[in-house]
Amino acid sequence: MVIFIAAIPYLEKKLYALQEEKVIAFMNSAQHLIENESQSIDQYWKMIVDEQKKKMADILNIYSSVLKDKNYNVAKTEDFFRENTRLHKLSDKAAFWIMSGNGQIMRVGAIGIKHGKAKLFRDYYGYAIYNDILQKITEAPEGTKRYSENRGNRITDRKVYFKSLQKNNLIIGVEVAVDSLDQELEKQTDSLFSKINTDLKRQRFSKKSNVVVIRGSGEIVASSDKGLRGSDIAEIIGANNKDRINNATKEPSANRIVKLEEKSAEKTTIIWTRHFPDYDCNLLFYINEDTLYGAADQLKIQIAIASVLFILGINFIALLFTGRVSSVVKKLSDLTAGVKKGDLSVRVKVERMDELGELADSINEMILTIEERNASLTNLNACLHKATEDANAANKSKTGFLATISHDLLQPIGAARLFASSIIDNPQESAKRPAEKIKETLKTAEQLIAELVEISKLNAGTIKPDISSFPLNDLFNEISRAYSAKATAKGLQLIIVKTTVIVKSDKKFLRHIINNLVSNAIRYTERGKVLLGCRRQINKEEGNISIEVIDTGRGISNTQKDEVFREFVRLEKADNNGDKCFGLGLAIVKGLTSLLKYEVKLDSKSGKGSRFSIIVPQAISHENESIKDNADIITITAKKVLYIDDDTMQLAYMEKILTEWGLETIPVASKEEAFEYLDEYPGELDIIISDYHIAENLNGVEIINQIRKSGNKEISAFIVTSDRTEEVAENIHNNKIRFINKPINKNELLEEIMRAI
Amino acid sequence: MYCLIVEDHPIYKEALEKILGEIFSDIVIRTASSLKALQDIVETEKDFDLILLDLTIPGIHGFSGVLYLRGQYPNTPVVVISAREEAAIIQEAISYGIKGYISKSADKQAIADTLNDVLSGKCSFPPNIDAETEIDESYRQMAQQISELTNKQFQVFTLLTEGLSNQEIANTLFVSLSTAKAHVSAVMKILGVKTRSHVAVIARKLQLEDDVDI
Repeated sequence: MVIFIAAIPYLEKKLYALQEEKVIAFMNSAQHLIENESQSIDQYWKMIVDEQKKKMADILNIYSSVLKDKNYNVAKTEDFFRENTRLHKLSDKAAFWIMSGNGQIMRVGAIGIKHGKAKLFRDYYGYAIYNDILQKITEAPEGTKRYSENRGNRITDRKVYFKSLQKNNLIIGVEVAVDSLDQELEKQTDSLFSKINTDLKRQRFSKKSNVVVIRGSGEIVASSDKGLRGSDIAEIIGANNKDRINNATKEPSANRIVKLEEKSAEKTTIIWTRHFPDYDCNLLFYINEDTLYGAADQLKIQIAIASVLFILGINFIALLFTGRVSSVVKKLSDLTAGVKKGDLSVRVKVERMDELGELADSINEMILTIEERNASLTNLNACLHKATEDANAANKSKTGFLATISHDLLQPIGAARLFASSIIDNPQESAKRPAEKIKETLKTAEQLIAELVEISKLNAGTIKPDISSFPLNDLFNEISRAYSAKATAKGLQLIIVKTTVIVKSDKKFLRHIINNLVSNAIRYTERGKVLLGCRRQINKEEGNISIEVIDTGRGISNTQKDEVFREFVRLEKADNNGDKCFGLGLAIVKGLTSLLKYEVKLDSKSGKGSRFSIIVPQAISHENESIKDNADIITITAKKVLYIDDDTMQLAYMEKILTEWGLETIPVASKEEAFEYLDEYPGELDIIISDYHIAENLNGVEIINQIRKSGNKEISAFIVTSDRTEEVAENIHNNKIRFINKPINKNELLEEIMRAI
Repeated sequence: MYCLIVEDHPIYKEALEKILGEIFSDIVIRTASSLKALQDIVETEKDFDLILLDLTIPGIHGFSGVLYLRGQYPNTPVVVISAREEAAIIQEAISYGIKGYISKSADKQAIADTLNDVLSGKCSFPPNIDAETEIDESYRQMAQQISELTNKQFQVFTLLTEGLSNQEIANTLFVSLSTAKAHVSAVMKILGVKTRSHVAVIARKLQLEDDVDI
């Protein structure tokens, strides 16, 4: 307890320091931002100034030559001056004047500028002293002077470009306010500061703090508080209104903390300042003391509570000794022992309404949470483990695959090379046999490549089944034609049981599967029969049929049952007369069946034969089918649809669907083509469907609006788009047009068309 | 016997010519390896006994070549010779009226068998192909329309499918803009469509099924 109380002041100090560090970090990032941004306009600034300088010099040259020519006749040149001042206008705030050698202002040739300006300049540099001016002019026949004009709260830096005409005892000058040198420059700085403003707001320290960027003149250029004025700042930091803010902030130049006490609310405001002499601006951050340290105070309170709890803890031990709660504690300690051992199913049952009861409840809750987390972690772990195993297996099988490939592919090619060299050696005699061998080996390599391509396609998942209903017997007949001769040649009986079943499957894939199974059966059977047939499934598989290939071959042992479906796995001693075998047949079967989501079963007894069965869905009767896919059979008569899309593939796809539904489709790829059609066949259109993004600066909504404006006011239209951004959805919606997303869902499309009709 | 081979692969074309020479002693062969060369032949030669056509010839969109040749030579059997062996492609080609199909991996004997069958008036296709497939009515109609295109119109058809403008078509064919326009509207009229994009859509239907990326 004592320790806690003693620690509080230390902690308080520490916590306050942490808050202050946060502020410093914030200031650093803000400074960084300002410096970065300022640098980028620095160069621009220089460019503008150079340009202005050149302009000024030009103007002065022109005027001095005019004055010389006119020989003192200032009055006569008045118009000329006026005109040319406008002509060479530096900015709205630029002034032009002529002063005589005795300091008298002779002419002011600028817009909205009073004599006072030149007088100010004259006074500032002491030209007013009679006759002194000639000497001054001799000292500096031309150049730039800077002086400050103090008007109310604002101090304006003015720059004068001047030239003396000693012979004429005249001095001419062009002057301009430094901070209004160029409107463009102003714009540039404005955009800079607005960027700083946004960025500062974004990384705002807290809602109750303010960040201000203020110029030396007192002009606020960026502020998180919109209502803030320069004079407020001057007040906050204690600078006299007439003083330049810079003076108040530049020392010390890096960081400065000012504490101000507001008498009225008895609040203390803390200010951090940074001064940037290069850019004539200051960064101010101010925050109420309570706000800044409030967070730390909250922590302080928590610590206090902790110490109270600590005292309560001692009381609890005291209670324990009195034995009043020993049974509860016993239960709890048993429970924690259980948890320690990893038994998370344990719970404590304490029916008390006091703190102990609550404690027990919260412990129960805690264990439940741990249990849930544990379960999800275990689950995740298992998934990760499985993924790792899969990856390892895939890697292993890939390595094996590559090894086998290089063997099986290189071998025939190597052989072909040998045969070829034999032909070269014996060009005439006995060249026919090696040439035949070359043909044979190349055929083998070709067959392997074809099968590999197929496996790769299956593995890559790029081919999609095309499901249709067809009589299974069609496939059986084909198999019969293809394999009868082969079976007979090997002395086998190929029995194919006719069937009337209609299956729903991908015809190409199913043909391939059965082909591979039958050819495999023939390959691995030395005597007896191979049977192909099907049977209806009765129990749980009702509605499905099982296609079976049964042989009386050598059979497959249990250990090999999974193996045989892998790539390049061949059972030993396959017959080698005639066709080559790469061990890819069953791998293809496996790939195709898993693509079709069919189950493959293998029953086999070593030495007795094997049975491969695949479970294939039977076609449902036609009535049911037509109800299911109503989008496919609907027909809508005699409506004309203009479909706009710059992608021919999309045009073709949409044309196919719409034509199937009985709609006449007019596909066009551009706005121009759409209008070509509308001009040629006016007034026959019923619906417009348009893609959203048609060309760089044109979207479907605009095209639809244009078509509607051009005399098809009432025409129905909707958009299809693959752009799912809110912006697009909003734009379409704002134009009161409906849309559906790509890829197109037929039912949605149909619904939209029905609505349009 | 007078035979036309449309094949763009130079070595395969040469091999085919040689083998045909061995199979048929009296054969006279013309070859074309592009649409341009093919059209030059079509303009002058009217009576071939046999046409061998590859499905992928520069300038010709898939099956439109079959339809074009069927239209130009209604009485000459067209045999497709292709590296593509997918049943779906063969079946579609059959529905467009080819009489035989030779795989590029076929050997001399198989080629001889197929061609002898075709010349004797039979059809000859790989064993796993069902020659009786019916095609969709709309496809049949489209096939009919394309075969009705004249030599020049077919050229315009292929240019339209490549997305050329009237002016570009005129430049390609060395004709005036108005002539090109007339050709374009004639093609659109024969095909029964109202926009040039619709022509491209039709051509797309005649393309070979795209290769599956591996």
